[in-house]
Amino acid sequence: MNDERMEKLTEIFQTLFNNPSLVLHDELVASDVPGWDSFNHINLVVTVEEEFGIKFSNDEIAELQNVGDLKNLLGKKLP
Amino acid sequence: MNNDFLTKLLEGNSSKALKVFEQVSGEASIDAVKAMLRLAILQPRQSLLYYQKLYNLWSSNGALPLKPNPAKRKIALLADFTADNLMPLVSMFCGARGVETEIELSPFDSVEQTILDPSSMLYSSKPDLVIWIMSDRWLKNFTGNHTLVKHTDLERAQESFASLINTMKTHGNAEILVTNFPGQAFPLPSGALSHNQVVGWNLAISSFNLWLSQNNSNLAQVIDLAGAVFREGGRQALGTLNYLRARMAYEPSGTITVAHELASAIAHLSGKTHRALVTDWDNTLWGGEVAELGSTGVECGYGSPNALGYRIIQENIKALKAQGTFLAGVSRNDPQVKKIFKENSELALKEEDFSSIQLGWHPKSESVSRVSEDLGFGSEFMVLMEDNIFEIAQVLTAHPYIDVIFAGPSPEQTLDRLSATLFFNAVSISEEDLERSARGILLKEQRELKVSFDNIDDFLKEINIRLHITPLNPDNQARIIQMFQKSNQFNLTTRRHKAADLNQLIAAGGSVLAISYEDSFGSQGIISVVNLMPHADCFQIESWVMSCRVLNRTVEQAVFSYILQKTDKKTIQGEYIPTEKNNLVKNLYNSLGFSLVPKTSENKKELWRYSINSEETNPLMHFATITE
Repeated sequence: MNDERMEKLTEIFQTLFNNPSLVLHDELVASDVPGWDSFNHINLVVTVEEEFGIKFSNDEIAELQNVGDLKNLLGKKLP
Repeated sequence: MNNDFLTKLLEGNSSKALKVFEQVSGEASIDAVKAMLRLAILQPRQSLLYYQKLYNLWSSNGALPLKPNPAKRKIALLADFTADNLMPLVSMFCGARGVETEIELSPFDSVEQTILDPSSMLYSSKPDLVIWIMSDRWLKNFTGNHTLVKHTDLERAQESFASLINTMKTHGNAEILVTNFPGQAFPLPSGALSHNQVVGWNLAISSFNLWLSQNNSNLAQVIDLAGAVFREGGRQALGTLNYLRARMAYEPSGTITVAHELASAIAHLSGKTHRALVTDWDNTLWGGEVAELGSTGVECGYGSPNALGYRIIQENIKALKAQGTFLAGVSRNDPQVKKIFKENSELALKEEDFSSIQLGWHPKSESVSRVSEDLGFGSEFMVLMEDNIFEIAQVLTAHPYIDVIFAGPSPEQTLDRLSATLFFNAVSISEEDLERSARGILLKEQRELKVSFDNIDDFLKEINIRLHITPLNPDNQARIIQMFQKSNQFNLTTRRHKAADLNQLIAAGGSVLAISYEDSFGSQGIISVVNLMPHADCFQIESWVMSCRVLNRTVEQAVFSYILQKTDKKTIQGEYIPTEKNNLVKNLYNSLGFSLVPKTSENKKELWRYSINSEETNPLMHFATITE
């Protein structure tokens, strides 16, 4: 994932969880981030879809385990 | 108001505007912070991420109401779908409209239980406003999921609905707002079918919505969610994927538009409705400048796509009068341009549609103050529609609580913002509202214009005006000639010079100087041209034209200071040749310190002289930096 996309993804996380110092790494999971509950997980998915102009299938969302998975999935979806 | 923030926000770089806000908000006054937040929050058609960022910023600034004398509302929100993401948005949008809210949401998908249980949050939290927002799933509880709906099932749904409302009224004293149905995320076929005792789904929904509105005075006020969703693109705003994922009834764009719709309804019920639309004229109500193009030369009517766009803008503005909204016109123009309403039959608006008209060359903030005096309420209840960011910023310095619709650059963009900002959205109407507009006309009283620069000096200092002066050259020749051909108002002699005339003037020792303008809002390009001709005993200003867009920014004073500097303290002579259109500059030379040369039998012209040795040689005050 290039720097620009990584910057955008980080901005989404920082905004959604209202934490401007949040740093993304591949192993980051929901339990590491205050506020990342099941409802905000959907908000995260929806916001990523809107900002990157893509759609995830429900199966793809179900398989997401951590930030690394999300980055890989984005890498497949984006040209 | 930070001008960089305002320019980025209104020109569509809203994310960059928020970055500017983050940089400047620490040092800005609380009023400026509130004004910036309010303008940013009320910008329509932004992404979910944008509003989420704004929510964080608004919360970190205390989640304050952003208008004076805020109303407070304790709200219970009932929904038969996942509505958690609506709450922060509704609360922020209400804050921007001057309503401080405390919102509690009913437990998921338990509307009936909540209403029927006297110990539920609906009653224990003692809200003063209940909003019941329904999805089509609620209706299907009564009708089943069939393509055809029985009238008897619809009636059962209506009876049940009325009974639930009455229960709420029995157990509590809250005002009740309900939403109508916006249609289906996954539409069934045969929507408009009607046969004996059954109707298709679209007809069923229309029929229920009609019943709701007809009964609203007895049961509840109705929020037009059907209209909101249609405005946002219809089905694409409704929850399709999001419904499957999390039982959300709306996709992101729908969530935002529904939150806006709810907030505007809450604001209306809380007395925070906008009461007047104060609109600029040139390039807002019609394309072009009427003083330059004439009453029938502007774009408005049926002759071109843009003309039709402006015509619909006028129709939609005029339509607001039906619900008691006042219209006011504020235009930096010669007062005689008002005749356009008589002379151009393709305009939808007429002069009498305006309850207050303020024309003149004084700062626009003063026009807004005069509208406020005419109408009898403050600018916090007004919306300014204007295409010029400079003017918007200037008005906001004196009227920080006025709301803004940025007009243009194309008419369809104005129309979209007029619709999406929801500044005039009403959920109820009184007899007084209906009579108000007519009363407003009676209030109309044209007062003599008074020029005041009380606040404008600080504003002009702040916007960093730069003038760049270049002699005639191949790059600027076309624009210079265009200015001589088109300028009518700020044109001292109305000499329609062409290339040959200018070359002749230069060959005779004269100068043709083009003045470009730039300030913190951006560049306006060449806005003035001065022709100077040296004579044995003086310099003559042979021609001087200027665009009216930059009037009242001390540009004419700056240009004349430059002329003084360049003419080596020689006497300067200017001429004013009156025409039907240049009354604006009748007193220009007088205001710059010139003296009128008495007319004689040999000199019948209106000549003015400025002598550096005369008593009137005080340096002219201006706020521009001049470069060559």
